[in-house]
Amino acid sequence: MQGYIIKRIAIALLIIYVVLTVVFFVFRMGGADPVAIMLPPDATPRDQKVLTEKFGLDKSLPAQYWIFVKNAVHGDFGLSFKYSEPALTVLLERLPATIKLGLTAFCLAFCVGIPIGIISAVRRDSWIDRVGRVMALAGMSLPSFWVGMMLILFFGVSLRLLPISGSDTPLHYIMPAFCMSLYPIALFTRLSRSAMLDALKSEYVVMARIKGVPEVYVILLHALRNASITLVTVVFGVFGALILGSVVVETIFAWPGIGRLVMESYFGRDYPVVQIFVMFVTFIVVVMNLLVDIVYAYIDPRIRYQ
Amino acid sequence: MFAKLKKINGSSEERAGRIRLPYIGLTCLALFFLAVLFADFLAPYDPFAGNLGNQTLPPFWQEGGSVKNWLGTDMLGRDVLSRLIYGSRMSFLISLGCIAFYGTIGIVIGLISGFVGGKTDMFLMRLADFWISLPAIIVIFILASIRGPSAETLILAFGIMGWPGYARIVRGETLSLKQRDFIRLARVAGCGNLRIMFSHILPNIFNTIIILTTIDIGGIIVLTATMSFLGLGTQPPSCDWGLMLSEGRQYITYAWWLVAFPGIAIVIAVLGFNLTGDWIRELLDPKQKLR
Amino acid sequence: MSKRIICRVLVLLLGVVLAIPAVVAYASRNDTVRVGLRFDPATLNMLEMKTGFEIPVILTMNEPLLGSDPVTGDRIFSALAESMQVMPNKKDIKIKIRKGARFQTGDPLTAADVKWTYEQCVNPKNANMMAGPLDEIESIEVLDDQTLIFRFFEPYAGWKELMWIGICSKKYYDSVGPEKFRKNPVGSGMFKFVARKVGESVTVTLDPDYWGYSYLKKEFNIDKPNFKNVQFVIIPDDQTRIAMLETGELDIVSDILPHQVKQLQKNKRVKIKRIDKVPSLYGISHKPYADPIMKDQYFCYAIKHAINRQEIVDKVFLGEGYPLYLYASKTELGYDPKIKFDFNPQKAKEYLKKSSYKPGYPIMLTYGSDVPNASLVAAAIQQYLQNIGITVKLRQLEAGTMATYSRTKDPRIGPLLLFAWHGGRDPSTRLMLSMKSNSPYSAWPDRPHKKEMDDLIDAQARELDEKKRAGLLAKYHGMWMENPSSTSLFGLNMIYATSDRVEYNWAPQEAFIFNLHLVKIVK
Repeated sequence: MQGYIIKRIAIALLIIYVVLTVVFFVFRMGGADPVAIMLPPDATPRDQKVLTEKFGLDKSLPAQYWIFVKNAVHGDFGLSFKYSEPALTVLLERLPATIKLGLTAFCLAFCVGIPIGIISAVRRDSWIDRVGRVMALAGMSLPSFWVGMMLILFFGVSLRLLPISGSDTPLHYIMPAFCMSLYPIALFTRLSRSAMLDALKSEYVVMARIKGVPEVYVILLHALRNASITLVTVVFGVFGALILGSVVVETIFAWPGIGRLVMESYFGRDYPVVQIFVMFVTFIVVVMNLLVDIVYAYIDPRIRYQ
Repeated sequence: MFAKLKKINGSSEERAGRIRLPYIGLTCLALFFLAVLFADFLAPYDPFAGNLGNQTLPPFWQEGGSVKNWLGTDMLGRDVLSRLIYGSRMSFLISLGCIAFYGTIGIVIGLISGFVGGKTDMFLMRLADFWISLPAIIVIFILASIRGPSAETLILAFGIMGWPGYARIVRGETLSLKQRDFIRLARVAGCGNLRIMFSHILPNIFNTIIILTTIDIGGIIVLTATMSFLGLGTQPPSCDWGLMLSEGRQYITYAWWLVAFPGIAIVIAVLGFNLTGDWIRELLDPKQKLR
Repeated sequence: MSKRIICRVLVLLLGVVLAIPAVVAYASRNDTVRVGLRFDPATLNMLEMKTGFEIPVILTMNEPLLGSDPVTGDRIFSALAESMQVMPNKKDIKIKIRKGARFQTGDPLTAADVKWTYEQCVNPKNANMMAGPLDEIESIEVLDDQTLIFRFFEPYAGWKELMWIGICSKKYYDSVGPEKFRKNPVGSGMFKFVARKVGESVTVTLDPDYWGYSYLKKEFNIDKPNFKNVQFVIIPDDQTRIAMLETGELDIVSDILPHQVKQLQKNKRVKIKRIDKVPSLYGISHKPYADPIMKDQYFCYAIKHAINRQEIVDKVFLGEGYPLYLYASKTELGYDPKIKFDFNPQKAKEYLKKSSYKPGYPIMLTYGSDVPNASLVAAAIQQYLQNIGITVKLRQLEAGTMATYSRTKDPRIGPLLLFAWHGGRDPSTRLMLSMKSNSPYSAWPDRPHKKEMDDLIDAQARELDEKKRAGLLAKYHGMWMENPSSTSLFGLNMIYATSDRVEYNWAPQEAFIFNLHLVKIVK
């Protein structure tokens, strides 16, 4: 077991290192000179030179890479060109806003999507099933950025019910969180419905029914427990959708999170920040994969000995 | 994000009752393909030629609008309807490009994984597990930083990211086909591995691939539009729907039709593919192997 | 089913709980003026100021030597300096600082702090945006706590444009170190730093102990503000910013696009104002290094006459601007409304015939997103030029790439580039940087008459007498128009709007929100 975990961790570290390297070379080789963007039009060549040196852009690529790796090991991913602060600090400063919004959206999707999916499966072809199916279809077909724009126009400008931007009060969360949860809701509804349908037909449930267990318990205890295994995987898979959602929604609603930060940094050629965003997301994916591996290994001994 | 398939349940009787033609979906799809195929005939004007004298004319039913420009004109005086019609081509080509790209990768990896089996299979499937959890947007950021944002960058990025869904399903199909008699016969007849993979197994998973493609294309249209909207996709003066939306957004209170119509166009196309995709799956995949 | 009822009750309860903080937040807004900004300030450290977008925020906290007149926009002594005097040698400026000036920490503000601040601004390590212009200063000499002398290398006509830099406290910097100094800026201004949420907002609060209330009242009749806080809210998206003004979430919003005005006018809670005396210059820069055809003067004349500037202003900007024919905008010395040339496609065609241009040869017009309605302007120009027979290709370039190309003189930028200049009141800096042949940013170092033009640029910069200087500039313009290295297009009005609860007037000649201490809450 220990050997297995160590092996997994080693692989995870390797992946992170590879991503680190790829990201480094990609951002150094491509596109514009960041110094050119940072300096005002009336800066002198001397300023340019000093700044180039400050960010180490005057050294050769391998030398830069070596410094980069060395620093990365110490958790130093370079200074943000724009903010003149460590890129990691800049990212971490904005992270709470994204986590709050992302969690809200996730909980919303979870609390709406999964119950609807389960009820749809239990009461097939009832009105709630139909509503669920339409909702799932809408969530898959409506582009969230368009929905966001329409929400702003309708609830923000026309009705003046909800604040358009900012993150001070819970009211500020309603529109962005709804917008961000559209796709996850659809996903959860669809998958929980089909997982539940499967489970309801399984032998356990049939057995339980034959034994005369009350229907509520059949659904809650037997069917749901079996469906939940599928659901865990789905919850994990929704991460990508949430990251994309945060970029889109934060751009539209001026939410001060990492999604907006990375867009601004990308357009401002603030490489270190874009870089740290890419690495951060990969890091989370790797860690999540690692955790899932380890948890599975505990649950299912067969995996360990593969 | 890619090839997310729901599992349709039900016995054959139940299914027979529920498979009916998706009229709404087919209508949407017909509209879309009409635009894609006959853009040159249908579009009343050149989508790129503007005339400042005609800027922001409203749609024909509004005051100031005329039947010359059914859906009005944009800030440059370009005809919105013509741009939408040509935009359908853009959407279709980009999404087809993406799917062709990652579909090919996915199919090849799936075939190898399923056919070779063993360690290779394990490695490829673990890779797929990891890959599928990586958000595609980070690759878009990386590629757009090197190549600059463009339609090709989008295709490349989604192409790199999209294959695991295909690979997993093709692998499953390959595994079950491998056991079938005709494959064994082919082997006895002296066919090489490659030959078996591509001329015996591949044709038999064609149905699956069609289903996957139809279901995926809607999602890809939304994704590429989103990227263009963010400025990470096609660049002006292209008539991509996402780009039209992001351009029109500035004038949303001034000319609502610049935002409403491209949005509706996206919804029509995506609805068409999603509804039809569900229907095709129920039709071609009665045993619901795909999930 | 009972589960669902519980859910409903929970949702209701949640709604009530959510509403309470919203009400509280709304109530606290009454003594706060909320200003919408498009860009997040890169830094609040005056010494490291990178772009003009930081100016509105930093200058509420860090007082400069000279203030600006709310009516005319001229530099006046409504700030730290009590008097300034050009010494007889014309190169030295003697500055006297007001008695009693002190920082928010309580320490007195002395001449040494001024000297230190200016020295830090030219320190290349800080990459301050003013480092270039400040290079004109040879040295700064402190005579006593209240007096100091700026010594310039040569007489410098634009010296007043170097006097708006916010003064920082050396003592504070030395005691807290650069990190804290950056995070928690301290100045001598009327507003104190409260908090910054990166990417979201910066809040400053009125300093009740501000040293200058009495002189401002006595000399300039400026009252103590009737509000407590200013909150700068960063909303990158134009549409969202306007929407927030409409809902009352913001009080002051600037840089409103002409198209947004119509919508805003319907809203009775919003007051729309406009001012044309702001720095604003848009044009097409010629890049002979990208295509030698741009050296052909007849080709340039053809472009000059082919473009209907008035129509661009009327159609693309709905009349919110003015056509521009010379290389100076309304706020700059040298602007002369009499200079204009006609929009004349016929004449343009004749010039084109004389030029070396061959029909069908594609000319690339590049544009970025720094010009409002950039794609529209570019497309309009494409049409005008195509009307006289020049084939134009359009390309949008992302800002970073554009900056790199123009800095490194990369031919990929294309022969024509749509540019924006939001600069200042004095054309000197721009002329020296973009026109002088020895400047690294000159697009055409080997231009005809380069010696004469360089001399003229130098001479006007050294000339302190405004009339003589205007004469030199006019002469310069004449030579520039003979071999144009750019084509001016238009200047734009600054359209800004306030909610009906505040009263604010834009400071003339300023490109950014300024004089926020003059805001009055009326409701």
